[in-house]
Amino acid sequence: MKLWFLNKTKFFVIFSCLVVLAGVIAYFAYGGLNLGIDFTGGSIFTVEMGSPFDDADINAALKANGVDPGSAQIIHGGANNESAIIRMKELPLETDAVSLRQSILDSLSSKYPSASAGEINNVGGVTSSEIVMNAFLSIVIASALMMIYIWIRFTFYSGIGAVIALVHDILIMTAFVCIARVELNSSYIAACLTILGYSINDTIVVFDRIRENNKRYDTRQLTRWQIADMSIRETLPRTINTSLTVLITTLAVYIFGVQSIKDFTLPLLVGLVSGTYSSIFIATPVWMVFEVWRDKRMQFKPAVQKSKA
Amino acid sequence: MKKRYTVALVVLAALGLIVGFLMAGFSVDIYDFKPLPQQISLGLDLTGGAYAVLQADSTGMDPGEFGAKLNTTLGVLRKRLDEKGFLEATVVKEGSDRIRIEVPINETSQIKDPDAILSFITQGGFLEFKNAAGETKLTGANVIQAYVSMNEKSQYVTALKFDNEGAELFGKLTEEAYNNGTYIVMTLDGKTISSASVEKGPIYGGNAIIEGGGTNGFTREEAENLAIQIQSGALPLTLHEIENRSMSASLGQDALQKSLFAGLVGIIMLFLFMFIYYRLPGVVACIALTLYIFIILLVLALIKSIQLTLPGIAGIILGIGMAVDANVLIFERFKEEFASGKTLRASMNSGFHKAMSTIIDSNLTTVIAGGVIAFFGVGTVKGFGITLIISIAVSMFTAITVTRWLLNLVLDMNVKNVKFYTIRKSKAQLAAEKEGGLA
Repeated sequence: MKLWFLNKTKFFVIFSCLVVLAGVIAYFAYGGLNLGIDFTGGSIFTVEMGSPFDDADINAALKANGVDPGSAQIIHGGANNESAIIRMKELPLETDAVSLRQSILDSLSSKYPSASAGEINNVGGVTSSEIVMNAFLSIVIASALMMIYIWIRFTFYSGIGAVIALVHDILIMTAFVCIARVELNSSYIAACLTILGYSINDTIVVFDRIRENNKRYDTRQLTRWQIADMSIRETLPRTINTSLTVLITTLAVYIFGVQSIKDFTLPLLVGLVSGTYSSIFIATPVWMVFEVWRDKRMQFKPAVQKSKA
Repeated sequence: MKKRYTVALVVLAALGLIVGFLMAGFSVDIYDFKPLPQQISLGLDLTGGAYAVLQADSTGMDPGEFGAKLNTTLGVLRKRLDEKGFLEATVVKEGSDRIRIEVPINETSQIKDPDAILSFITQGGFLEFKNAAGETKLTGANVIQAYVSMNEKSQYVTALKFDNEGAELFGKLTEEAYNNGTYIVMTLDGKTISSASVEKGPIYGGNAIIEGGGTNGFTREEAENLAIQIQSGALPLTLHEIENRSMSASLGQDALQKSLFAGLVGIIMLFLFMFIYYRLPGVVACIALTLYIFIILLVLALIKSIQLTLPGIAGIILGIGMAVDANVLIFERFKEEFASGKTLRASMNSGFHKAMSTIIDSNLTTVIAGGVIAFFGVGTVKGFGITLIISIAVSMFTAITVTRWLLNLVLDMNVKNVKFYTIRKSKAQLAAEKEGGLA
């Protein structure tokens, strides 16, 4: 029987490796990740606008003074929403904090004549390294426990396959944000966690069908690879429909969402595609390679016993 | 059969009415029920709250020592806010000697007054046990656990559990007081909060309680606050408030409105897809999904300590994905079974049966991940884990139980035209058509 999906495993593994490699190159070429203000912190100052205000006016004033509005955050504060709390990732090199404060006020003065501001202070990131470490540790512990669960319900090697696929998806997502220079804020952690849940779900569905077909067919009729390939084909309508529905929903949120939602859903979209791809082209082949390797070892042992008898 | 579906239709109509009322809100007499979505506590990123800037006192410290103590202070504040249910609060360093705190405050917060929150978290929390001579014998550093309990007078007390060293020291202290007929004094940040004689003999068990004194003792909140302050450790620095104001959503003022609109568009497209591809079962899945969203809103509105934030919404969206996936799995199985020549009802039943092990395995694995994240995670990571677990529990119910019940109902109503269920015809049907008989 012809293999439809598992006959080019090497190609797909190399493809994934190349994407990750491109990510690593981009990482070093750009000098690290494009971390947002949640991680890096930056500068903060509060402008008393004198009246309720429009974010666009502040953005224009920031832009006129060389501050990138894309990585700045504006929060409305005070009892009447008349103060603008402005967080900036980095200050323009050519000015110091005192003159920047004055020139931003000057830019605002035509529309908000009574605007006044406190001094510009540096501020730490809201997402501390402890939170990142904590999230990372949680992912590691969660992966280990999921592996044990899959080991109990399936086989030990399928647990390895599922977790490798998981690591693959997180790597692909991270490679993507390196290459596309997506600004990472704390929502990226949530995106990674979401993919963790989605990817494992997708993998289990394929694995479950393989388990079912393993019971139905003897390995003398069909090879393990053929059974796995058949299982992928049988679950294909489900794989496509589920992926499509989740992708459509996420894409709609990406298109209509505000900037911070876009920053969250873009890596998520990549992760969703990768999650589906990896359950077919990474998780399943990894499981099969191990399983076939074990079969060979098992076949060898009875042969020795026979010759003794 | 007819009776059964009349009952079911009445149940459905009643359910629809309840959902409608809860979503729109109503008022009867003095009871005013706000629309469900408005009762959900939203996080700082979606709704805003209050912020405060605190000045740390660095007098008499070298910069290295001060820096280390400032970092400890940040951790203690963070712990106290977490314990009070402000999981989504942020605590950051501003300048070199200031701390900026942002706390989401809404109707459901345990403490609503920003000043009260500030005075709670900035309390030093330095607990001392002294003998009658006023010598400090033991401090809160030896406490490994502090919690709310009750004494024999049914008053709230703060109960303490010491580590081994603390148990030994406390035993000696009580023995001294017992033998000399004197008393022990407990102070918090230098102020005496309790003094007691030891009447029943020395206490070596490593447990102690702090009573509020007076006729009523502590309120529950006072006992809890004290427990949190002691357990989180004492603040190594003195903090002075320099700014305390309200603030808008940190994701931007219109983030919530726009995100809701985006989510709605996404869900409508999802419904369209399910309807076009799966027809009648697809419609049933959409009804189940609507119920899923409603139950999630209800749970979030009922459990006030869960704050909805962007990561939380991600957890709910993942839940929608899992619910759709469960239905897709069932319907695909149904199609396979039907194509193999079974009747509609038999295909439906074995579709559910065969898809079940997949659904349970995939959902349980995700629950394991959610559980770990909810248990070990801090702040918004924890929030994601909690909403994920709730979402999966609810989605299993709606996508399996509700969908199954509704589909059986549809079959009971004698909707047997195969066109409503699937595009593909069964072998039996094809054979029947060839013979020119009835399908």
